[in-house]
Formats: sequence, C-alpha cells, structure tokens
Amino acid sequence: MRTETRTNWSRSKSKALESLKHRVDALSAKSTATTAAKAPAKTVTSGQERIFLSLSGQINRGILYYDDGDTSDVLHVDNDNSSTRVRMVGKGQVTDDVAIGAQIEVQMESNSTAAINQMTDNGLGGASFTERKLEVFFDSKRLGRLWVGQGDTASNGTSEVDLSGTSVIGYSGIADMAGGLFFQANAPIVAGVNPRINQVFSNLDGLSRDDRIRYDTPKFAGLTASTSHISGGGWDAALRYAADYEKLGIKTAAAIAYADGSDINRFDGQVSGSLSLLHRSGLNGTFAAGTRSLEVAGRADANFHYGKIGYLADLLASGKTAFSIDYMQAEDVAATGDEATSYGMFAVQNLSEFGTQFYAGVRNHDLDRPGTAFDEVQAAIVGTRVKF
Amino acid sequence: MKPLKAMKRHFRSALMVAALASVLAACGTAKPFNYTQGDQIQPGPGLFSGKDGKFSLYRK
Repeated sequence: MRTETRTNWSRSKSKALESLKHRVDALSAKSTATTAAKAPAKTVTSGQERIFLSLSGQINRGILYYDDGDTSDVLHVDNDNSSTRVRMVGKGQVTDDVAIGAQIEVQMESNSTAAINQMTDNGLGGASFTERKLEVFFDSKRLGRLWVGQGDTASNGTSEVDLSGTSVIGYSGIADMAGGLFFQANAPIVAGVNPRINQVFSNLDGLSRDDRIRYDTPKFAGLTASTSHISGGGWDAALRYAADYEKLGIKTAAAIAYADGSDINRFDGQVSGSLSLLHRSGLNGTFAAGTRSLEVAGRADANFHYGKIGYLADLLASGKTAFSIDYMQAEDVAATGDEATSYGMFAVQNLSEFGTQFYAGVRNHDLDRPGTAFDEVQAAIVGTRVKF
Repeated sequence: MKPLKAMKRHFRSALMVAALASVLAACGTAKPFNYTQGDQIQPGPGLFSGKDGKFSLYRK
C-alpha cells in the first residue's frame, strides 16, 4: 500500500515538472520572438572593422523684427549665429594610436539673417546646400591632428570663445543676428551705397573656413597650438586654452591668433583673441578684441572690442537658463572714420534632454560715419535651435 | 615700413597673451575640458537621436 502511494506521488510530481517545462519553453520562445521583432534591421553595413560613421544636424529658425528708423517689418529667418545644417563624420581606427577620419558639413539657410534685408525680405537661399566642412583628418594621440580640405582655419573661432550659454543668439559676431539689414539715412536705400550691418561690424575672426591644410598639436594642460596654410598663400597660427580651475570654481576658455591674409588679398596682418570665464555661481564674463592692418595707403587699421556679462541659472528642471548683456565697438572696418557700436540683451532656455533651445534677444546697431547721419537699427528675435 | 611696424605690434600682443596663457596652463590645479564653440552643433542629446546626439549609421 505504502509502495503504491509512493509511486502515485512520484508520477504526479513528474507530470507537474513536465508541465512546468512546457510553460518555460513556451515563454522562452515568445520572448525570443518579441526581441527579434523589436531589433532594428541593419540597413547600413561596412566591410571594414573598427570604423564609426554618424549623422547629426540642427535646425535654427527665428522670427526677426527690425526698425531701421524709417521702416519696420517682421521676417521669418534662419539664424546665422548657428545656421541650419547637417553633418556626417566617419572615423576608422587604423592602429591603437592613429585614426583616419572624414567630415562633411553643409548648411542650408532659407532667409539667412546674414542676407535678408529691407529690399529683399523673402525667398533668399534655401534652394541648395552650401559648404562648411569637406575634409579628411589624420589623428594621433602622440603627434596631434592634421586636417586636409575645406574647413576651419587655425584662427577661425579665436575671437568667439564664449561660455555664457547665449551665443546661439548673441556673441562677438554681433552681425550674425541681423547682418543683412542696411543702415538708412532718411532716403531710399541703394545697395552698394548704404552700408549693411555686417559690413561695418566685424570680430576679425581669423581666416574663417577655407581650403587649407591645418595642423593641431596634442593638448597639453588644456593648451593647443595650431597653424594652417590657405589655398592662394594666406597662413595663420593660433593658441587655444580651455581648463576648469575646480578649486576656484572657474572655467576658463581663451584663444588668440595671428593671421596673414596678404597673399589672398584680404589684409596685411591681423591679431584677434577672446577670453571667457564662467564661475560656478553662474556668473560669467567674456571679452574679445582684435586689430587688422590693411595694405591700402591712407587706410586706418580696423579694430574692435567686445564685452559681455552673463548669468547661467537653474530656474527650470528641463535645463539651464542663460541671460546676458553685451557691448561692441568696431572702428574703421568698412571705411576709415567709421565708428559702429552695438549693445544687446539675450535669454536662452535649454531643454537639455531634447537637444532644444528657445531664445530671445534684442540688439541696437549704431553707425557714425563722417558726412552721413544714419539712423540706428533695432532688431529683436525669438526662435529655437533644435538638434536632431 | 607701416606693415613691418604693424606686424611687430601684432607679434608683441600675441606674445603677451601667449605668455599669459602659458602661465595659466602652468597652474597645475586646472583640469582641461573640451570647449565647443557656440555656433557649432553642440554636444549632448538630440531631439530624435536621443542620448548620443547623433545617429550611428555604423559602429563596430
């Protein structure tokens, strides 16, 4: 009797185990099917090992209001402080030390703030991409980086170091916000006679982007030296520095450059630089200056000074809120005797998790030119930059 | 003569700032960081690309 009971119990246990096994198998099969369904299909592949290829970009659109003392209007624009663009970067690790990479970055601006003006207030650009960077680079941790192609010259950006968090709408390149607008003198505007904002203001920012060969040293204690040679004969050299003084609670970024543009008919020589400090309290300050010698008899050297004070606040959980005010004075940029001054006020709200910024800014532009009384030009812009 | 004078002045200014930068760099307590210019595509998340801030077309 006892043996029969034991046998029955053993059979029942075996059945229960069998049933449990079936259920586990079924659940396992279901899970595998779900995972397979969720896994993205590989649409791009490479025969090379140890390579990386990425696509990124941004859209930066705003609504610009201006008043030139005679007329005013509302324009829908692409913010040239940081234009709408796409970028592809590829990199292959050749050895543990050496990598080879390539970069294509192009912009597409419909109604760029650098071009739109009182006479052409719509339909500007946007039909095609324009070049920003089309280059290859050779990267070594020990030896530095060599760039070949169209891209940033060594001196590009050296006047524009800015830690305020508001440079999407206001920085030393003050003409990017509404640079295409003309100053007017209570008479019909004539292109080629009336100066544009971006003709009389300049931050003398090196040799911009160009077809060049460029070399950057490895970073030493936050310091990098660079030099480049431009197609046609121009050359430049620059020093960059970026370091966080943690004990003082101060982040520092600075850059300075010498550029010789005489062989490419731009100017004889130019020195420009900028320095930006950000305290952990959020207070920040930025200063930039530069001077340019022109190879024209009787022509005064162009120069500029720029200053900005800002505050980075934690007002919203979504991201930092940045405020700043700035002032710029540029002399003899378009013609000897010109004195152009500008001041502005800016606010930027970040939605960090979504790569989005909302911004608003106002700027006043004034030009004193001997013999002509131009009205001041006021501009205000609201907009958003979305990184996709 | 004027370009030579101007060039000398430029180099003097550049030398002064380079010296200042070198002094700052020599302060051992500073921690270098990668500065991204404000007009460039910023590091960090993207609206569609998420945390990476870029679409990785291929990564081995």
